[in-house]
Amino acid sequence: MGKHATKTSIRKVLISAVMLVTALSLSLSISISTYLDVKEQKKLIVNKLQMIAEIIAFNAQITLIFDDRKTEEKRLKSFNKVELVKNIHIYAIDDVTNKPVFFTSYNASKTPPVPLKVNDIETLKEPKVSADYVELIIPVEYEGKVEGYVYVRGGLERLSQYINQKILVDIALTLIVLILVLFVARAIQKRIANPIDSLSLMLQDVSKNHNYSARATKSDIEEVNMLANNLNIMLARTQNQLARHQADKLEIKQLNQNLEEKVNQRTIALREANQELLNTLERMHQYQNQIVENEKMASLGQMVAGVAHEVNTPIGLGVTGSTLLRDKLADINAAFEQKTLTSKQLERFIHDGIENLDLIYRNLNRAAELISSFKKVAVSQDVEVSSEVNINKLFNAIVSSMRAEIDIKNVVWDLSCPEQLTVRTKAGLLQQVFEQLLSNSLIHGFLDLKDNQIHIHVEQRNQSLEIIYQDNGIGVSNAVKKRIFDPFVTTKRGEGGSGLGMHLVYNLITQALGGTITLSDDNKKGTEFIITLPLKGVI
Amino acid sequence: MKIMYLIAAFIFIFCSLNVDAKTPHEIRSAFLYQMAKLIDFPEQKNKQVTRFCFYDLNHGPGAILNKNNNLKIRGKPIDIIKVNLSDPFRELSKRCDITYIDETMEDDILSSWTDTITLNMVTVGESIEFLEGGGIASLVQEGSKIRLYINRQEVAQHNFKVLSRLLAVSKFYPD
Repeated sequence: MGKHATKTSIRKVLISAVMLVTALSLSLSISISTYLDVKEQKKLIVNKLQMIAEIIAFNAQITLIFDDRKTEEKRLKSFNKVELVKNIHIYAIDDVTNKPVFFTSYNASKTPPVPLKVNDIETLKEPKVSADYVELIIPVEYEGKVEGYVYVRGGLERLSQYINQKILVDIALTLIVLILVLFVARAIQKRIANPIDSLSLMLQDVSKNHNYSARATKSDIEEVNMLANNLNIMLARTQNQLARHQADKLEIKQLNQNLEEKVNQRTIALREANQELLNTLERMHQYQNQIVENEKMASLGQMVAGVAHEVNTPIGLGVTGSTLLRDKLADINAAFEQKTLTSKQLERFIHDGIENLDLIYRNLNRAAELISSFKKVAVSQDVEVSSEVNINKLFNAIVSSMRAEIDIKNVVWDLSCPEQLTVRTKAGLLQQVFEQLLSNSLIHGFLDLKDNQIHIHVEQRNQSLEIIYQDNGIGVSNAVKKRIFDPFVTTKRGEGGSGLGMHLVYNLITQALGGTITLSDDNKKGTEFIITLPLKGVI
Repeated sequence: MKIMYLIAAFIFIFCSLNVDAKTPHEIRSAFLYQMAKLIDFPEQKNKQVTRFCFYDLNHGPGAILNKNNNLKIRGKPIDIIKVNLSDPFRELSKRCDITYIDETMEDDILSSWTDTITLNMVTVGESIEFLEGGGIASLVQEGSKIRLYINRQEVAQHNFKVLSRLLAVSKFYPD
C-alpha cells in the first residue's frame, strides 16, 4: 500500500474552518447590515429632504402670494446651516401663462447653481436618487390651489462619508473578531487535538511495535473518550484474537506435520500399488500376446484341421480306390501268372478298374479344387490395379454372366444405382465379391423357385461408396451369424460347400479393397450385407 | 454645458419677470383679499362674512374685488361695501372689517378718522404717509412691485391680530 503524503491536519482544518465560517458570516452579516443601513440612511435623507421641502413650501405660500422674493431669499439663506441642502428653487405659477416660472433660489456655498427644473416637475415629484444627489419637487399649495413649486437638491456626501466610516469600522471589527476567533479556535483545537495526538501516538506504538497490550488514556472530551474506549476494546479483542491465532497456528502446524506424514505414507503406498499395477499390466500384455499366439495357433490348428478334414475325404477315397485297384491288379496278375485268368475275370477287373480310377480321379480332382480354393483365400493386393469403373455396368455384367443360375432359381433382381456412378476401384475383386454373394443367395438362400428377389442398392456418400446387398431367402441362423466370415463355416458340408466363400469375401473387402462388410441384424427376412468401400486411396 | 444651462435659466427668469402684466390695482385687490385671510378679527369664529369697504367701486381695487365678490375667506363669503365720504367713521367701523383708502383720498380722510376709528377695523392705504397718519397697512408701489407695509405700533394697539406669516412678508413702518 503506497504512502499518502500528509496534506493537512485537524488543527489546520479546524482553525481554517472556524476562521472561514466566521469570516463568511461576518462578511455576510456586515454586507447585509451595511446594505440595509445605507438603504435606511438614504430613506432617512430623502425623508429629511422631503420634510425640508415641505417647510420651504409652507413658508413660500405667502411669499408667493405676495410676490415677496426678498423675504423668501432671506428665509432660504437660513438653509446654509443645513449641510444636506445644496440647491433650492422656488417656482411661481405665472398668472398669464399658468406655467411655473422662476421665483427665487438658493445655492449652498461652493455649490454651483443648477438649471431650472420647470420641465421636470412631474418627474421629480418622486424623489430622484443619483450617486451624489437627491432631487425632488413638491407643489406649494395654498387653500387647495397650487401657487408654485419647490425644488430641493440634497447632497449625499454625508452618506458616502457614513458608508466609508462604516466600512472602516466593519473591517476593524471583523479583524478584531477574527483575531478573537483565532485565539478561541486555537484553544479549542488544542483541547481537541491533544487527546487525538495522544491516541495517534498510542496507535503508532501499536502498529510499529505490535504492542497490543497498550491502552488509550481517558480524555475530557466525550467523543474522544468514546473513541479511546472503543480502541481499547478493539485492542483487547485483537490481543485475544492474536493469542487464539497463535494457538491455531501451532495447531495447524501440528496438523500439517501429521498430514505430511500421512501423505508420505500414502504416496509410498500408492507408488507400491502403482508398481504392482505396472507389473500386472506387463503381465497382462504378456498374457495378451500369449493369448494372441494361442489364438493364432488355435486358428492355424483349426484351419489345418479344416483343410485336413476337407482334403482327407477325397484323398482317403483316392487311397482306398487305388488300394482296391492295386489288390484287384494283384489278383489279376496272380491269375495271369497262374494262367487261370478268364475273360470274365478280366472283364470284371477292367470294369472295376475303370470305376476305381474314376473314383480316384474325382476325389483327386476334388482335392485339387479344394487346394485351389485355399489359394484364393490368401488374397494378394498386388494382383490387380485400380481403374475407373462404372458400377451400374459392372453389376449388369455380373448378373449377365450368372444369368443361367439366376433364371434356374427364378430370381427377380433389382439394382438401384445412379447410372453414371463411376468410381476408381479394383473391378475384378468387386466382381468376385458379388459373384460369391449371388452364388450364396442362389445356393443357400433360395430353397424353392417361388418369389425369389435380390436387391442391390448403391449410394455414394462423401468419400465412400455404400452398397447394400439384400435377398429374401431363408436368411442366416444366429449360430452361423457370429462366425459367417470365419473360414470353413458352411451349412452345406458334404454337399460341395467348402465354407470359404464368405471368408474370401471378407478378406477381399477388408484387405484388398480397404472397406468394411457387416451382416445386418435388422433384416428379419432374408440376408442383408452392408458394404462400405473407400473412394480415396483405392488406386 | 453648465454655463449654457445657467444662461438659459437667466434668460428664462428675465423673460418671466417681464411677462407680469398685472396692473397695480389688480395686485392690490389680490393683496387685500389675501391679507384678510391672514388677519384674525375679533370674534372671527362667529363672523359670517368678511366685509371690504371701498370709497369707489368703479375704479381701483374696489372695482376688481366687486367683480369677484364670489370669493371666500376661510369658507365664508366676502362682502364688498361702498362707503361715502359723508358716512360717519364710527358707523363705518361697524360696517367694515377692511377699509381701503386710495392715495387721492388719504389726506381728506386721515386727519378726521384716526382718532375716532374703532379698534376692530383694518385700514389699508397706498403710501407710507398713510401709515404715518395712523393707518394700519399700506400697499406701496416700489418700482414695478407692490409692497405691503404694516404699522406695527398701530397693529399692537388694535383688537385684530395679524398672523406672523403675513408679518413675515411685510415691511414695518416705522422700523
